[in-house]
Amino acid sequence: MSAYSLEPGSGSPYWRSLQELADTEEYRHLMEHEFPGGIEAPDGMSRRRFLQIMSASIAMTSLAGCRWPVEKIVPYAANTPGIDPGTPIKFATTMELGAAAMPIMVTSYDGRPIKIDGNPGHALSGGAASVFAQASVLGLYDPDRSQTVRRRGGVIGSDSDWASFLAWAQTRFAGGLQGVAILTGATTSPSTQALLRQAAAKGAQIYLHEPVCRLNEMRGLRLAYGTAAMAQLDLSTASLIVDFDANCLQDHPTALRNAKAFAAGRRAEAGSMNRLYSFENTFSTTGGMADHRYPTAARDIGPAVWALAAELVLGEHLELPLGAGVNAAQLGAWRGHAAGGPHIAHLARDLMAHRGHSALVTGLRQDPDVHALIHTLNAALGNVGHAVSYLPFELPPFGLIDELTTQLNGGRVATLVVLGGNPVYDAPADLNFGAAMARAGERIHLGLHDDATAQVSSWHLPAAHYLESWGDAQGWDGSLLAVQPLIAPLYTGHTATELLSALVDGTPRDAHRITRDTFFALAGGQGASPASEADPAFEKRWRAFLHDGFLAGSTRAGVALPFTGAALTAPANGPALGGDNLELTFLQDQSVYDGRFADNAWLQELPDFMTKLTWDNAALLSPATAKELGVVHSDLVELQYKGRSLQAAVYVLPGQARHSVTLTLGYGRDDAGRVGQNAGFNAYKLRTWDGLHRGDGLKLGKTGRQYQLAITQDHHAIDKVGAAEIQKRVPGLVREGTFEQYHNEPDFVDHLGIHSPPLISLWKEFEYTGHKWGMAVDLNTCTGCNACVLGCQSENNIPVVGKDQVARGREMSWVRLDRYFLGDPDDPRCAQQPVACVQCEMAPCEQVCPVAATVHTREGLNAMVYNRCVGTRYCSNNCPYKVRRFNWYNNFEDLTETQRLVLNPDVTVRARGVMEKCTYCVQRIEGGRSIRDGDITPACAQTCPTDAIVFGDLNDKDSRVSKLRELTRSYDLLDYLNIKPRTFYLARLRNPNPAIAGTEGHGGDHGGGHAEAAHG
Amino acid sequence: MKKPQVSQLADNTVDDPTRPVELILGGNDFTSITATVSDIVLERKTPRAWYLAFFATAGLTGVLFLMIAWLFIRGVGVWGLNNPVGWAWDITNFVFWVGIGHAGTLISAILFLLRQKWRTSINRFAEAMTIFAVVCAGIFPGIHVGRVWVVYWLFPLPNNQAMWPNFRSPLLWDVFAVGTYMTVSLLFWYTGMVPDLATLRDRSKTRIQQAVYGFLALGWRNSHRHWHRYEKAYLLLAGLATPLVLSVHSVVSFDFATSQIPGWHTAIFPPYFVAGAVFSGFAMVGTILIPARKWFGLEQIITKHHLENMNKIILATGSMVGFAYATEFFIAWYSGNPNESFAFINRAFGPYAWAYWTMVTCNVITPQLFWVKKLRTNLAVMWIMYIFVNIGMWFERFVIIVTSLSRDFLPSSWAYFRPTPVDILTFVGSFGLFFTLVLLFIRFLPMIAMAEVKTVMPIADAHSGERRSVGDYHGDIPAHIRDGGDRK
Repeated sequence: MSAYSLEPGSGSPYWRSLQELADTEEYRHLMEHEFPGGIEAPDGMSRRRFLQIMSASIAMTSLAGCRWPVEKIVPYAANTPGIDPGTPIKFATTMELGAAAMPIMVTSYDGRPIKIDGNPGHALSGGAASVFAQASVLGLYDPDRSQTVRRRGGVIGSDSDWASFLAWAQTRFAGGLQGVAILTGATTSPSTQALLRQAAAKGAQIYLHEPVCRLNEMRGLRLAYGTAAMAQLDLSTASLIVDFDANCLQDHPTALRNAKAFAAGRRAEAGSMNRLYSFENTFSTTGGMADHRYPTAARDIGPAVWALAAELVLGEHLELPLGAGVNAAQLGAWRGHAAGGPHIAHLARDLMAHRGHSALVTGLRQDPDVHALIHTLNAALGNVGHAVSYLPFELPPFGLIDELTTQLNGGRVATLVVLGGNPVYDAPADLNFGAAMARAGERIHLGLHDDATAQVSSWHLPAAHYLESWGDAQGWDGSLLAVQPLIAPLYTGHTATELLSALVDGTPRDAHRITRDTFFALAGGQGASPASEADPAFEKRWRAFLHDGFLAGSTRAGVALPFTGAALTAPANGPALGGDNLELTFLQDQSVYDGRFADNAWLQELPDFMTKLTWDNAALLSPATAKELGVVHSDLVELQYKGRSLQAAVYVLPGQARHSVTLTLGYGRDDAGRVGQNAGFNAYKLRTWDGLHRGDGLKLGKTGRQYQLAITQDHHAIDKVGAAEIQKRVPGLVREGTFEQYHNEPDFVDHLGIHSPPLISLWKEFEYTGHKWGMAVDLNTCTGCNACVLGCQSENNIPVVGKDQVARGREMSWVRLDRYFLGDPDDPRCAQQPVACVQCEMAPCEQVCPVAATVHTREGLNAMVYNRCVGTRYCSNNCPYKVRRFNWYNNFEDLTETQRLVLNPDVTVRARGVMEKCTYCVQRIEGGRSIRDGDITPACAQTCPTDAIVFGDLNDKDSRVSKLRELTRSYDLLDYLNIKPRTFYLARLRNPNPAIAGTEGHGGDHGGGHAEAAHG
Repeated sequence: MKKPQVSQLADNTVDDPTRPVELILGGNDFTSITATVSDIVLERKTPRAWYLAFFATAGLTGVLFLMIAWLFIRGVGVWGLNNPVGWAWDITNFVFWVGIGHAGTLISAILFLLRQKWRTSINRFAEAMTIFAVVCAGIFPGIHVGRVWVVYWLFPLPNNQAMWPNFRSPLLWDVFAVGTYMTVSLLFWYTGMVPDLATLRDRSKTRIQQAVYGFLALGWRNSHRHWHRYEKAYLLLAGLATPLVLSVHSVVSFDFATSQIPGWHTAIFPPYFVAGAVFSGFAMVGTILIPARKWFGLEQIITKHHLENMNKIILATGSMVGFAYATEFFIAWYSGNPNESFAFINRAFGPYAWAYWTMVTCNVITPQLFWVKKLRTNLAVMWIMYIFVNIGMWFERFVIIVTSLSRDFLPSSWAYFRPTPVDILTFVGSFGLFFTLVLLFIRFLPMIAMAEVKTVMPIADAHSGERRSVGDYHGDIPAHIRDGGDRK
């Protein structure tokens, strides 16, 4: 809530009376807007106002003067048939993030969306949803969202309205769109793209800016195949996967589908298991799942790929496809290159053995040539058409932000329209976009927040949240996806399509009309879409589209493409990396993405899977590098890079490549609202256009100061005694073996962990004759994607406590992902384990509660009676898993009325002083009508992309969970305590290459950071 | 009456098994004892130092209540607790104060039953201290709960929900154990005080004193029948209190022993806690007695012999505690339970090693100096030692509670506990409350059991003249003793 020229009470009354006396224009404006902007402050939306919007016949636009057609929503005066108040309804819609559209299913309670899950009907989701999608529902109710149209830099005050804007725009753009530049984020929406094309046809220049951009990928495809395409990855058919800095299970546009397919290939009971190799500089979830992981500086990934190609072509005599951009002679110099690591020959042999059943993938940080070479190798190995295929499409003729900056600086842009995004914050630092933008005559910004870009704009227009919007999108598999509103805009927001329509259409269309028209046009219709009565067949298709959330049958099958023959340039690295020449890499953040979720408290407090860091990013360094540079964890250091500098805290991350520093994007925003304000360090200040993803020459200077990082595991540095114990203890906790071992010795898990005398009961135990709920967690397929953590948070009204409280060890999350590193800190293995309340049958917590606030149900749930709890915390002390969470303060007192709307009415909001914990989503069990296996699913299991969590009735011998219980690799965590947990784990299996496993016991140097030989 | 100086008192710490120890020195008779003790309450002008001390301690008590108010307003989060460490200073303070309370009952009950005559000079004081310590202790479990407004649910009160507390929970046992202990200690203290209250009543000068002490004296008329009933009641109460000495801290130790956290889950806790409690209780009694006997001129009643006996008990219980520490380590190794072994290695060498070694130094190593007679009869040395023991015993509870919780089964949840200023001020404030009560007690009640002391004086014994008591003046016999004939 900032920058009102005249906030109530800010001016002196004398000044005001003089104004009144003078009857100036400002005063009249003030009078018209009696409550300038601040009317809804500080909350943003009162409950009364919300109810008005919800139940009265409020238009989707709240202004009579607006020239978009007013659309009525039927009042709730009479009950709508088929809708029961208090019964949740689900709607399918789509969330776009970058170029990835995610089909989702939203649960709405009496008109307010409260929970987001994946759309189970669509292959891109399969019922799973990413953390970003799940948390976006909180963004809808963000009280810091922009609420009014603002006119800045004009004669009068900054508060305006849509009617004034539209009137202004009509005059301004009456003569066409010459001199207009439109800057948009990556969008797959056919409607938006069509409108952008129309705008271009009317003379506007279109530019694209996406901080986490996939340009390298597209350029690589163009280099190899001469066309842009969506590269399809079908890991279900791949028995060997090599991930070169792609993090394909997490950061890929089809990450959820990849994870599901990958997990399907990991189910050892099916008789085979895929194998995953990973080359990356920062430990990712994909690296954590890898059977072989090679910490490799980002700049050495290219050489590693070339080394692999050389080994394949020269060592294994793999034939390159026709039109490939390399030949054997070029590859000669790369054979045995250090960047490939010690096992590259084994990898090549392994790939040869899995021809047609493997997949190579590289990520957005690698150069186009590396992408092209990967495509070449995939084709040579016969993978194209199986695990890899392509959906070619035409890239629209958009410019990029560097060209826009040039245009702006040249004074050739009269009007700049920024459609969402925050380029002033996230454009590369060397473009100095803020200053360039100020040179445009008029600057129109449509955004969810009054952010840095809004501040530079002459018009700021509040955008509608996607949950308030009509729209469409295209999935990575080519399918047409629906975006439909769950709620009328809480504030006065409009969509980008509506704004574009106001610019290009004679009569502005509303988003619903635009979407319908596009849908009609895509089906071959001409002109405007028919009214609902006019064309019943069309209407039926449209309804089915909205119901399903996608157009059935619109998924396209990938194809193979011919190579262009364009020559590939071999990677050329500069001087060797070292303590005074570090590599700096930029990575999308797993919490705030590129900064757009900085004001989302769920995401800010979501611990990064590897670092367990909340509320901050940090400069990630390998233990060896930190030692060499003489810095330790949480030191504040000065990053000096390309003449710029930034202070950031050090996080020493095991498994980070030597001399490679990673900084995630999206932090350090000073325009992020009350949640994300100034959290972390702004990587964009170091990011330049010529090295969007990485660069050399980073120097690290000490400041002598410390910075507090809030980390949810290892809350403080572990001493030697503790570290040694962890190494000793973890193999018994997170049990794992190899696929081969499992085959030869199926009960190997029983030999891990602490051996105890026979466990006997002192008394006759309760017999569970009805349901006996239990849960299986398969460590072999859990990737650590955090989806369950967020799903639980959203379902169970888990409060956010803030950085200070997390630093004190008071995070509230009911599910936590335990992550341990084993072995050499510079090249460790990662062991992960989701832990929530395991619902012990002999629950230690129940014995010690003096007021019987935690008791056992007949179905074996360890129930928590919130209103009986007095808060002695004895249960938590006695819990060997430490999964109970205590409300140290009233965690809900600071929530605004708007923020409270996101709460799930089926779950009690816990008071101060009360203990809470996982309940197996008891509200879903109690609400379950049918009791067939799978009818009741806790939130964590529902959203798990890899189905690693399975819930069901252990008394039902045919249930999935009972069958998993029978597997020999199932085990109970801390079984020797004889507390009989209902949640059990399935041991992780690794599938190492036997040839490499034989050579293991290495000194830990995979040569990752030492590929200094100058090639090419 | 002449007040002898310390240097003029016989040294009754001299060992001579052929003669009984003289417990009251300075040629006191019944009259002088009565005068010495009751004049502090009735006659002597309240010393300025008392006022200063009282304002200081009352101020600290104010701090305590401010901290509690802040706690009630904001929530338990104002303390430094975190997820694995659900109890820290709160329960440490509780156990610390309950432990201190043990000296009182031990002296009153067990030493009474064992006919240890020397107890008479210090029992009133120790009993008072017990009451005050239990008051301080009782605060912490009461305020440490999350929802303090429903803390009464811990008591088995009839209610419309027909809900009983969970009788399996050691916390509920605590409620009963500490409640019983408080009740019996209070009764014991008060019963023993009735004859002395009657003395104060009889010597009162003002109406208020007469009324208050008269009321409190319950109509005591010093009749044989009264004495008969009194002695019976006292004996019975001593019999009742004796098991309590063992039970209270045993039950308190069950809070930990019946849990399954490594470092808590040990069968040795009950005896170990009781020994530790007596250890800390005697140290706290000594801490206060040494200055009190000096400031109020009670050296001839609370003699070095008394203090030396206390030091012997401290030496004995301190050694028991040390033995318990060693046993814990032995069992941790011998049990073959890796979690248990780690809990103890972590205690001694982990992040809380500083606390562990503070504890060992104060509780095990320094008390061994009391083997040397010169040291255990030196007032300055013993006072410093008492302070050490107090510190050590607080740390013992801290070490047990916090180190065990901070690192249990799953390393992912390990964390380190750091106290907040509220933690610290609450603890300091509890000392304020304790000393405020002690000061009020000194000012308004007979701090020495006059009636009981008189029974152990030589003149109470018909045959006293036949034996010469032990005592050594380490030089010339003072004139008043020589002239008085030293009661041959």
